[in-house]
Amino acid sequence: MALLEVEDLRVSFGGSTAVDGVDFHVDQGQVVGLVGESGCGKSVTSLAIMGLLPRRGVTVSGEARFEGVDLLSLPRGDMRRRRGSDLAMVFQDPLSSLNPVVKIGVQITEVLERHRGLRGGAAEKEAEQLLDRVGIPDPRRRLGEYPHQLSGGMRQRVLIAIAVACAPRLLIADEPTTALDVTIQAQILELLKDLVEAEGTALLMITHDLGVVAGLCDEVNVLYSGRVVESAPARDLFARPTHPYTVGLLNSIPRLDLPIHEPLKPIRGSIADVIRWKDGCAFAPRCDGVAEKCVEGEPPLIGTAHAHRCVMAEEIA
Amino acid sequence: MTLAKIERLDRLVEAGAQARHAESGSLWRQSLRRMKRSPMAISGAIIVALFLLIAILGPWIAPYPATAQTWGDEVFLNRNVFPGPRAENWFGLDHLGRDMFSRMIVGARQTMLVGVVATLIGFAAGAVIGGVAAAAGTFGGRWGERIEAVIMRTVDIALAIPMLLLALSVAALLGPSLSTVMIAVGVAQIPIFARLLRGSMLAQAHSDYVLAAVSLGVRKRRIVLSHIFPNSLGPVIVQATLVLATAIIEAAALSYLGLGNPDPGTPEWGTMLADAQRFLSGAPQLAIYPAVGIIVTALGFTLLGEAMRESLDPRLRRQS
Repeated sequence: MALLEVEDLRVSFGGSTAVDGVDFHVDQGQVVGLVGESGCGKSVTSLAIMGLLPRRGVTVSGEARFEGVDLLSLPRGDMRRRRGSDLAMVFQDPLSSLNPVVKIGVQITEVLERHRGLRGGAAEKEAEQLLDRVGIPDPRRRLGEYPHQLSGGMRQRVLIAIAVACAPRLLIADEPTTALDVTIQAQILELLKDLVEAEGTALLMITHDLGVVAGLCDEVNVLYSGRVVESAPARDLFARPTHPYTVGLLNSIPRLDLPIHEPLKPIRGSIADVIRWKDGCAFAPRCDGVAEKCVEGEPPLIGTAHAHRCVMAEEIA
Repeated sequence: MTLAKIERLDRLVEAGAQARHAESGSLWRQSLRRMKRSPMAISGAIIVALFLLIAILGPWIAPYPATAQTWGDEVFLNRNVFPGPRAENWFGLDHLGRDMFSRMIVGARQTMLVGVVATLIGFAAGAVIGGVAAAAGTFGGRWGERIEAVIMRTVDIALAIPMLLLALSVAALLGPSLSTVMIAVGVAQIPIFARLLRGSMLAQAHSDYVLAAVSLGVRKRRIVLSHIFPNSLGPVIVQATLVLATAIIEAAALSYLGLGNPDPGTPEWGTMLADAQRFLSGAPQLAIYPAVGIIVTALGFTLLGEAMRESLDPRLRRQS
């Protein structure tokens, strides 16, 4: 059984739909990528799973079953107990995600106290070990420091330490490397990879960076306009991208081995909900291989292991 | 490369190192460093320090006791003319023959006490009210929002009443005394503090680290008390120094209106101002000393408060 099964997840803010029927699943110990451009609904999906969306003005429907229990219909108190212990999250900006006036040590022990009942010295000792595990030198001293005394990469390490403090079975990382520079990015990704491998934690990696996906993920889901358009094992996806959007994403990556004046190949247009998924393919307005049948009703998910949502896939290929 | 050039380079490198050093240190230490460079902050701090020193040491450094009638054998032809500044009485004598200089020095303590206590009352009560409102509104669900609405509308109503009128009504209810003035002025400040803290807490409640704390299952009470509240205090503390200035002026106003401490034995600047009124035509200096005292003190606290506000403002933080 899958650890997390998301089924027909829909989130809308007032009139506008951010997530329009997302399905995917994460197995025990698996690293799954959720890829897409800004505004495709990937962050909202993660916030919905964690139950972190504001209650007012937001409608969430569908199911997100964690070990068979639907998180979306869980009472608030139960959800709060699960957050941080069963499933935890690492956010994008490591500076603003740490409280500027609270010492690092307190921010770590706070979680240990809440979920593991550790107190005083025991909690501090555990916090020190956690910092050591995420590769922070001199952890004892760091416990007494404030977030602004740490570098960006350090802060992200602290956040990761806090997230894995209670050995969650699922870790959601929402663009954990976007705010960091490239050399640090690699270190952080390496750290995440090591941690989930050592603990058997499942990782849901949310990113717009296909490079991250290629290096880290077992399974990839490509999101467009609030719906999964292609879902495949990472190798397969890069070898045989099927949906025109995935193809466009891969083509638009700048490459060093191309001639200098070769122009970049962006996907034309920008994300806009001209067409809703129930009326046809939302990508149609930006697609080069668009045809009549693209806008004749909802495009079905084709295939199983390597699934995609393009009715024209065979003709284009 | 000439020697001058090398020297200039050295200086640049040094300046860079210093700037990097200045970047480190806690938020408060950074602000402190910025304040040290602002002439506004320095003059404010000097005035406030001087005032506090006089207020604390008053009775010991005053040349005469505040109540002693020091005119000895002098006889005055006109009852409305009193000796002005002279060698033995620097500020002259008041209408009862007491040394004005000593009274000014001793009176500083009352003035400070009123200002500080009134500000503390306003700060404490305002913080509780604003904090409860913000916490209820953010984490209390539907009922919490209603509670917040009721609290904040009440605060709005209180804000609509002119501050002096509010203070006057409280003072009238309690009868003239020193504690009346403190409570009256303090109560009048409550709505301002409540609004400010609530706004500041609401802003913090939507910050990333609060979302991160929620995502880790940290309890609501803990999030409010140890995450949101300490981060929201900055602007409120700045407001407190500004209110201190207002409180001193208002306390003087209440004393002037006869609601202050009726005991003539303990001098207070506001009461002295009120007493001097009768002799304005013959001895205007009696009104000028306490008036200038009040103005300068209020100015000192205002300067310090403004400088603090600027140095704590995150938008200005990078520029120094």
